[in-house]
Amino acid sequence: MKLLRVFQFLAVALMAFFLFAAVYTSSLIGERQQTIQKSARYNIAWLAAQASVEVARLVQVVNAFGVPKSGVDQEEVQLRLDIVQSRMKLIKGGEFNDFVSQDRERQEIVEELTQTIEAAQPLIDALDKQPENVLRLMRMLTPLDKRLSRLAAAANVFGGDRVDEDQHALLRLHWTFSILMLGIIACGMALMAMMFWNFKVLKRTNGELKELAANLEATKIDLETANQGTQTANAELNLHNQILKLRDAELRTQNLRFDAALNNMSHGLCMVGADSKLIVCNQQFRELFYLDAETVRPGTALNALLVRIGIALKLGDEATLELLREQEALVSNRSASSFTREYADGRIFAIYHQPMVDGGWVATYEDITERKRTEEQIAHMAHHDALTGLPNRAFFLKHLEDALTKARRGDAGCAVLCLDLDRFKAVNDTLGHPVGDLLLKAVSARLKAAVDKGDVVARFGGDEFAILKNDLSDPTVLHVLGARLVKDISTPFQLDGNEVSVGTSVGIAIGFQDGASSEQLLKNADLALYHSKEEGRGAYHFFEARMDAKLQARRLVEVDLKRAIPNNELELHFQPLVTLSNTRISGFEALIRWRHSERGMISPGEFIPIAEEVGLIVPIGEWVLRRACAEALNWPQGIKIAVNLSAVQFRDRNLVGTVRSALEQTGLEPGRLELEITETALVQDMDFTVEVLHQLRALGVRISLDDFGTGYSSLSYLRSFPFDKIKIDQSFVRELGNRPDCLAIVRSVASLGHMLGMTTTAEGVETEEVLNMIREMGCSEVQGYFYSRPVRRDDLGALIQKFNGTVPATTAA
Amino acid sequence: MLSRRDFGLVLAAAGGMGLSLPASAGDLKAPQEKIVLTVNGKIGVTNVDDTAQFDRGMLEKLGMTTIETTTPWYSGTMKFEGIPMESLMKAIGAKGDRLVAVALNDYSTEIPIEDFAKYKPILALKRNGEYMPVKDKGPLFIVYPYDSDPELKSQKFYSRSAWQVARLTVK
Repeated sequence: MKLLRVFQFLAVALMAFFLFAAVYTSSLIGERQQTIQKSARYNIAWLAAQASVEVARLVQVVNAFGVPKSGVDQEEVQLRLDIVQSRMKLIKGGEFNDFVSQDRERQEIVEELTQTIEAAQPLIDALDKQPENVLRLMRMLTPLDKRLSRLAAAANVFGGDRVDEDQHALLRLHWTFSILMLGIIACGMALMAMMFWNFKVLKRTNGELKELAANLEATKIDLETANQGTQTANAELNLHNQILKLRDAELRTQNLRFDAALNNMSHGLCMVGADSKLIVCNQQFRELFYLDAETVRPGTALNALLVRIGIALKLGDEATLELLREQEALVSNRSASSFTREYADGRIFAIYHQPMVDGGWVATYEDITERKRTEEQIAHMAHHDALTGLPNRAFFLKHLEDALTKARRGDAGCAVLCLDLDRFKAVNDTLGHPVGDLLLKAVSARLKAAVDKGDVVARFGGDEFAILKNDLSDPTVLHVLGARLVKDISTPFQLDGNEVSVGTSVGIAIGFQDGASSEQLLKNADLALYHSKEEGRGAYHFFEARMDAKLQARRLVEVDLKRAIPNNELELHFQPLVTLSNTRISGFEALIRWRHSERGMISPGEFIPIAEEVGLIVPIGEWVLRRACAEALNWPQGIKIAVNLSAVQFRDRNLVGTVRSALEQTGLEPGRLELEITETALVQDMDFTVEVLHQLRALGVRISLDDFGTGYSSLSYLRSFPFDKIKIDQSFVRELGNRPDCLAIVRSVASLGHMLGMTTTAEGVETEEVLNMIREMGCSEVQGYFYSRPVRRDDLGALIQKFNGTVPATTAA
Repeated sequence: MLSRRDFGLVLAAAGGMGLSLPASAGDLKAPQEKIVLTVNGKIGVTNVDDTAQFDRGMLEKLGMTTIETTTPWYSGTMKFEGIPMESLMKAIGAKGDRLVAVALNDYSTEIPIEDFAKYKPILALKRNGEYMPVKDKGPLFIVYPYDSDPELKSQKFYSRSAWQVARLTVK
């Protein structure tokens, strides 16, 4: 700053100097101009010299005038004088006068000149008249020459001095000017130096400013960076904060969830730290052990907790100590364990103990008392018959396995007795299921009473029972037992005010002798039972090998029967049903025949039960249905086709679908199809059967009740479904001639049918006598050998022609 | 910028030109009175032999102009009246570039003719309204307007300012 002030001062000083120099230069130039002007003044020496020349010319002219015939006249002289006079004026005036006035002698000369010239004038005027004037003039004028020369010389000297003076002045001016110029140059240089210096200062200042600016910029960038950093840090902090908040919220949520999970789990939970102090336990835990929240705060010592549990469960000191020891062992074992424990109050807990990595442990407690009881119950139910409480088939087989295992070791033998009740179905049907159940219970009791302790009585279902005779050493014991069983069961039962009489058939198979496995033994006992039943019931039989052979034969039929349809061994025969009123065939009943490739014709009575038993009745029934429908298409309109449905077929849920499909595929009018069912189908599951019948009826099919009178012939069956036709069993019809009761039955059935609007058909009409009786009793139709045996399809055409007089459209298949 | 005096000069010059034009066509009349100026040399207009001779009246007809100036020969400002040298040169049909003036006292000086257009000198007949006699630098005096230009105040132009001029020679 100080430098700048100095510079400013210097600059002002220089400016002042330059101003001064400019002014002074101007004045110098003016002075010089004057000086030069002076030096360029009129040359007085020349003037003086000219004066001298002119005077000389005047003298010369005057002189010439004096010479005759010189040609110079007075006018000429006068001209010359005028010229001199003109000169004299110059000498006396203007600048020359300055020169003259400086010196006395010069003044005298000029005075003398003036006087001489003035004096000359009158002489010249009178020159023509007075020639002597020439001489006079000569005398006057001649000395002037010298004087003028002297004046000229002096003027010359004066002029030279003046020039010298002027030169000196000019020189002085030149020097002054030069010095001034030098000064100016010096000042200029100083100014330049100052400028340079100032420039440097400015440059430095500028550099400093730049540096400062750069510093500022750098600082700005630093600040920006710092700001950005701060912002980033701030953003990060915000983020962290948000994350923390989020975590906090998450933790809170987790905590809430944890609490909710903890308190909503079905198990009791208890978590104990490595320091054997309670970390957390849930409400369920406290409830399980009858603890209140006050006494089981987190931090409670484990032993204190166990003691409280001991008190709560009223375990007593000893049991509480045992509890402590057990828990200690559990904790020190440090491995996960799952176990159940039954407490003194009868509750059973499932406990899952899990050590934690930090040395603590967590355990869950579940009160499984109820479940345990239920499980036991289920286990019992799984192994026992609900009605009688006897072991079931599975449980029996397990016992049998055990017994066989023992027998195999040679400890003691065993035997299996299979029983079923004779006429049990009748009891059920007549007295109802409750009585049937009571009977089964009573039978169970008698059976249990009949066997020894260690023997097992089981019920397999229905009226099937089995007995495992253990510790068998003497097979004769079995005879005694068999006989006793037959006798005991045949003793009438007093059930709910009813005296019920049933019998039993027994089949016996002895371990190892009649089978090495439980299944085989049981099966053989069963075969023996069948044998007993075939032999007329109310007896016991031991298994024999021939029984198995018979079974094998039956098996063979079963296998062959499966191939019967694909092998095209089945065929249909048709027996006409004749309307009594006009003796025309109203329809045919389709009857199945099996032409076995090896054994020839096999009776339906033989293979149908087997087919029913093994389920083949369903495909066979379907085959019959389709074939019969297809056949009926060949017959004249109005002739119906009747097809038998087995009770087993009703168990096939798709029966209705099968019938519909047969009708649709063949295109037979549903009204031409008659399905014949027996009472058995109704007996087994009447509600379901009736439902199916309604569905069949809905298809448009007619339904007949077949073999009426052979079974229970309950009138309730007739009421259960509005049958289209009742077919009276041939057993009644055949006996019409001999037995009056049959006559009454047929008559009443016919009458009943008439009243209910049902067609009545008498089966098995073989004689004209019977026919007449039937006609007399009011039956609508008859079927039997009297009119025709069942015929093959090839003979149908003739038969129809014979009765109805019409030929079937075609007899081709 | 033109000063009033410059304006006057221009007017006077124009007037002079207008008057001299008929006379410059070569028919310079012979002098009737006493001849004051004889011009010879490279001239296109003559009236007596090879010269152009003028009496005072003839000169005055060429157009008069006035110069007021200081001179080294007089104290104070003097008023000179005369004809512009330029007009004279036209009147005589000067063809050279130099003019030699010869005075009665035999003084001669050489003047570049370009001076006339440049500095407008005049051939003065009168001083302060009076015809100049031989006794006082008459009858003709070449006067420059010394005060109009510092350059003119020098020996060079003073020596060109011939007085008692009687004869001019165009070279």
